[in-house]
Amino acid sequence: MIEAKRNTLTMATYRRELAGLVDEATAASSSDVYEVQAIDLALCMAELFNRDKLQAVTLWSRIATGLEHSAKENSANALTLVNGCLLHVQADATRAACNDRLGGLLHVASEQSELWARQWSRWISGHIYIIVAKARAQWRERNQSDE
Amino acid sequence: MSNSNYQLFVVHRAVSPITHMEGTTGNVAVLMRQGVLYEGSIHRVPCLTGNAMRNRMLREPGSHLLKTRLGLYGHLSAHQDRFLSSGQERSEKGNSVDVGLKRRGYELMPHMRLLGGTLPSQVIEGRAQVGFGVLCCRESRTARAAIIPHDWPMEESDLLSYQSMIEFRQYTRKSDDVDTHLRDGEVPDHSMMIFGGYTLVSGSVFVQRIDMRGCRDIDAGAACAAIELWDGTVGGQKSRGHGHLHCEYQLLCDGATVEAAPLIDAYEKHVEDHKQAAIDWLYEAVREPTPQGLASAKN
Repeated sequence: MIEAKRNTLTMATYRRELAGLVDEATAASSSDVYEVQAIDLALCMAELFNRDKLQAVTLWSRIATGLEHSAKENSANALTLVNGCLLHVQADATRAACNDRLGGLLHVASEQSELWARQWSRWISGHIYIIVAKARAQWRERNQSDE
Repeated sequence: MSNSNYQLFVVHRAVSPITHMEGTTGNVAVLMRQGVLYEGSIHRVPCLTGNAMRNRMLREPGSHLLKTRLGLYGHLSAHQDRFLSSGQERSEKGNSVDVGLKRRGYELMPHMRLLGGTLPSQVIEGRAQVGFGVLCCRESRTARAAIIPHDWPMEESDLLSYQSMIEFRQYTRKSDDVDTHLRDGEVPDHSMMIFGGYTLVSGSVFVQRIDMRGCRDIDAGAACAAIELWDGTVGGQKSRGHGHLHCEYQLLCDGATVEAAPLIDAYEKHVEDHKQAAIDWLYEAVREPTPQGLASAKN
C-alpha cells in the first residue's frame, strides 16, 4: 500500500518555499554598493599591509588571497570578514586603530544585516580580480596625487 | 474508462548540493543549464533535464514497483529487465507495428502507457511529457510563470540570482590501483588527483511540470506511485555523491486539483488484478533477440 505522502503541494507551501529565496538585499543594496565597500576594504588592506613582515612585491596577490579566504570563511558576518582580511596582511594593531578608512568601513559593516554580509561575501568571491584591479588603480591615483 | 488530461506540478527543494552535470571541461564538472531570457539577455540558468527526471523520478521507481508486485525479480531476461527499467532499444530491423500487442500493453501496463518503451521492432510512445526542472531564481521568472498553475500569482519580490546559488567544490582522489601495480621495493605514490566542479547549493528550489494527455486514472496513479517511491536522488556521480531532492506535488485533472491517493490505490489494484496477464504480455512482447535480428538492427 503506497501512501500519497508527497501530494501535499499547495499555493501556500509553494509561496513558503519561495519566501526563503527572496533577495532582500537587492532592495537594500546593489552591486555598486558591494563594489565600493569591497574596494575600500582592499585599500584598507593595502594601507595596513605589514611591510616589515611581508614582501612588498606580494602586496596585491596577498590582498587577493586574503579577500578570497576571508569571504569564504566569514560569509555571515561583515565585521569578521574585514578582520580576516586584516589578519591576512598581518596588519599592525596600532596602525589599524588609527586608520580612518578602516573606521568608516567598520561603521558601514556593523550596520548591515547577516543577509547583506552573505551577499557581500558572495559578491567578493566572484569579483576578486576586479576588486584588486580597481583598488590598485585608485591606490596609484592617490599616490600620484600625493606626490 | 474515460481519458483525461492530467498534469503534475512538482516542487523540488535541494537537500544536498546538486551536481546534475552537463559535462566536464578538463577535470571540472560543469552544471547542466538552460538559457532563459531576462531583461534583454540570455542567462544560462542551472536546471534539471526532463529526461533525467523522467528516468529517476518515474521510470526507475515505477519499474521497481512492477517487478516487485509481479514477482519478476530474478525471472527476467536482460532485455525484459531493460524494457522495464530503461525503455530498452530496438533489436530487430524494420518497424512492424502490431496494434493489438500495443493496445493490450497499454491496457495492462499503465507504467508503459505513461513512459513508452521499445519492443524488438516497434517503438511504443508514452503519454507523459516531462518538463525541465526550472530553478527558482530572479532570471527564470518568465519560465516559471509558464509552469505554475495559472491561478497561482507570481511572487512580488525579486528572488536571488542563480549566480548566488552556485558554488565550486574541489575534491582529491587517490587511485587504489597504484599499490597493486607496485614492484618489490617501489615506494607507493600517494599523490592525490584533484578534481572539482560546480554545484547548486542546498536549499535551491526547482519547479517542474509533467503533462499526461489522454490518460486514465490508473495511468496518473502510476505516475504518482512512482514519485512516492522515488528516493529523491538526481544527477551527481558516485565519487561526488550529491544530488538529493525533497519533492511535493499537486495533481490536476483537466485543470482541477484531485487527490492522488485514490488513483494510486486504483493503480495498485489494477497491477494486482492483471498480474498474470501483464507477465504473459511482457514475455510475449519482449522476446529475446536472435543473432540475425541483432545484426539486421545494426545495419
